[in-house]
Amino acid sequence: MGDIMTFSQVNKRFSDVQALQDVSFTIPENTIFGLLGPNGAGKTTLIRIITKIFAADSGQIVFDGSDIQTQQYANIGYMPEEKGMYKKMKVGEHLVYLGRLKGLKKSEAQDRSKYWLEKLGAGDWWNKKLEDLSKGMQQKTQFIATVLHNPKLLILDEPFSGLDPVNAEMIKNEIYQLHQQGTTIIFSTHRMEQVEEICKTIALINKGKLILNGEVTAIKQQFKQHKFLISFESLPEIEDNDLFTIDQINGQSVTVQLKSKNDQNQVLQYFINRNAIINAYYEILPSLNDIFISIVNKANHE
Amino acid sequence: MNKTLLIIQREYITRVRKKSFIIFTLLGPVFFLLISLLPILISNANKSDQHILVKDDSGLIPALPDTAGLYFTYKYQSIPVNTLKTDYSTIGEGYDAFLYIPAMQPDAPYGIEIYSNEQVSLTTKLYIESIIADKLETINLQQHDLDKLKLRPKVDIDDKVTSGESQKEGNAAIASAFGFGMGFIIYIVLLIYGTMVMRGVMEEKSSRIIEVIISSVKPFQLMMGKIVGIGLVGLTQFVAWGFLITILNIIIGVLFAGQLSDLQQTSASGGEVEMNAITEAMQSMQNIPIGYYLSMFIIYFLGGYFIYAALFAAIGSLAGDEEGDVQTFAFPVTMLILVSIFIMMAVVQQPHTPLAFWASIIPLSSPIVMPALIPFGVPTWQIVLSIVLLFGGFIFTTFLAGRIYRTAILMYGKKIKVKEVFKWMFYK
Repeated sequence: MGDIMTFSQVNKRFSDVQALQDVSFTIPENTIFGLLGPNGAGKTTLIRIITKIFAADSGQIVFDGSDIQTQQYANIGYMPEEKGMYKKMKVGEHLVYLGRLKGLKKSEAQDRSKYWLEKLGAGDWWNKKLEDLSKGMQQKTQFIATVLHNPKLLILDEPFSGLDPVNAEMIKNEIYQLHQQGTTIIFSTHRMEQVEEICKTIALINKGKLILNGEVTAIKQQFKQHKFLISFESLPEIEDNDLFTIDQINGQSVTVQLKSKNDQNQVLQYFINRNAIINAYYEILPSLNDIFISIVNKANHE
Repeated sequence: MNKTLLIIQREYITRVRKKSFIIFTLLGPVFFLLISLLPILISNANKSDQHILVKDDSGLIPALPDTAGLYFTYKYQSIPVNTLKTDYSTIGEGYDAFLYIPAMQPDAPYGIEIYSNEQVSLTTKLYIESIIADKLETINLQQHDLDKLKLRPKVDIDDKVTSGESQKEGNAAIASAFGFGMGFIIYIVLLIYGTMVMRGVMEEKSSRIIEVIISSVKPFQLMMGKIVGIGLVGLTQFVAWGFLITILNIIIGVLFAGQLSDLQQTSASGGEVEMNAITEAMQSMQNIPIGYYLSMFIIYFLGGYFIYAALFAAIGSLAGDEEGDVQTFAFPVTMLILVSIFIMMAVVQQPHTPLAFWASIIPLSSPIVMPALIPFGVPTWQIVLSIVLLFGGFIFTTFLAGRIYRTAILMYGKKIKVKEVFKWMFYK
């Protein structure tokens, strides 16, 4: 599997802040890519370079075989975190206008807007003013505006914020469908559980530098702390020993941390030897949230 | 379709269909008419006594009856006319004006002149004209060949203003009023539509739609699209006003045509004089090269609008989320416009000063000052220079504004310092 997008040595400086410093990573084909980082890390700067809002000072971003700077605006769809709109306009004309700005013909923009509104259960919104819609409804309109022109690259910044679970699920399904159709999706969020659910590959940026990049499963393996959860029929008496230390006890379950990494069978044997009845035994991988927090904290203390 | 055109279209359509625009466009002409009648009403209400020295070489008008605030004196008939023309204000107890009636035939009353330091009001002039016409009519009636003669000849007094040494044609006063009007309209345009551009930019920035738009078009395209779109809104409004005023004039003409001719028949009543004042003013307007003035007006209207709209767009982009921030930046530009209108007012009084020259050349003030100056006669080279600089100024400000705009439009949160703005203008 090749890479659809390559960032090499991207630098961007604003008068007194180095917003991005030698950022290099790749996005594999056919993935939903998570771009993560705390506030002010340089995510938005990077996204604005990708969306051609401004150019990098140095370095290169190649998408689908050509420099991002030579890409058509029509290839890119961007849904910013702050979802702005012309509040006085009607849903229909707003969508058609944004579609035409991306290069669609008027009739094309109209047909596709109607199609999408219908698809997202908003067929009767055409003549409603945007300011009269609820926040969630506005956000659906925003999503439609972002995907209306069938971009090859889709950048979604916090696409679910402000959506109720039903609508969030609806948008999520649309994102999956676009992904199936071959759209490259860059997904930026602070909600780590969403990243775990949706993204296959991630990059983590902090203070303008790339500090983590790779597949989510690989990263979890990389950061695992050899913790195992054992669920008993009834909790036996246990204490720290040569094999493990007790991480926490919760009801009839205990989480232990192994002292050396390939001892999981010995641990199981240890409890079997004590005639404990074991209902479940599995490895606890760190959540992305834990990884994120520990790695950012570590970086900030350096 | 070109994206800039698309932006122009949106900016234009969303504004033109607003209720406030439609109401303002429809009520504008009514307001205009009231404003234009105001000076006539005020000049009538605010009349001080005027003493007019009369010399009648024709012998046809032995006396002119005094009327409210107007007193006629037949004295010093032996003093040569040319002396009276210059010295009327110092002879005897001094007079406000000197009316000279040369030798003439009762059916051809040509060459009547009135000299004054300040422009004789139209009502005064028309009153005298109608009295003389009455007298001549009576004389003509007493002649035998009634059918050969015009019974009531048209009396046309040539009014000369004698301020200091120089004499100027009274028509110039109307011309300069016209110039003042043009300068003033441009001043209004710059303020109204300039701030409209500023608000539009601020709205896009604060609603954050800007980020979506400039991931589709270049910031400069968006800025220019907005400026041109709103400029077209302004033009539409003016064209609509012109159209409505013309129609209103025709309607008034048709409705009151009967009454007008009735009034002409009756002797010098106040009503007739006022109606005549309007027709007289219109006749004077016909002597003005309207086509020339209008083309100058459009050039300076567009040039001025583009320069200031670009500045206002840049200012709008600097606005933070708080309303107050923008005032700091808007103040200097608003001041420039205000200073220009003050210079214009001074220049209309004294059109041949270095101030007038420079203000009509410098592109920041020329859009307001030059149109007001043109009726006084401006050398062609000066107009050409002014227009070239106006065009250069437009290119320059748009370039600078574009640089500020593209950076500032994405800056949120932190307050922008003036020093930074200068840096954006000239680097990279």
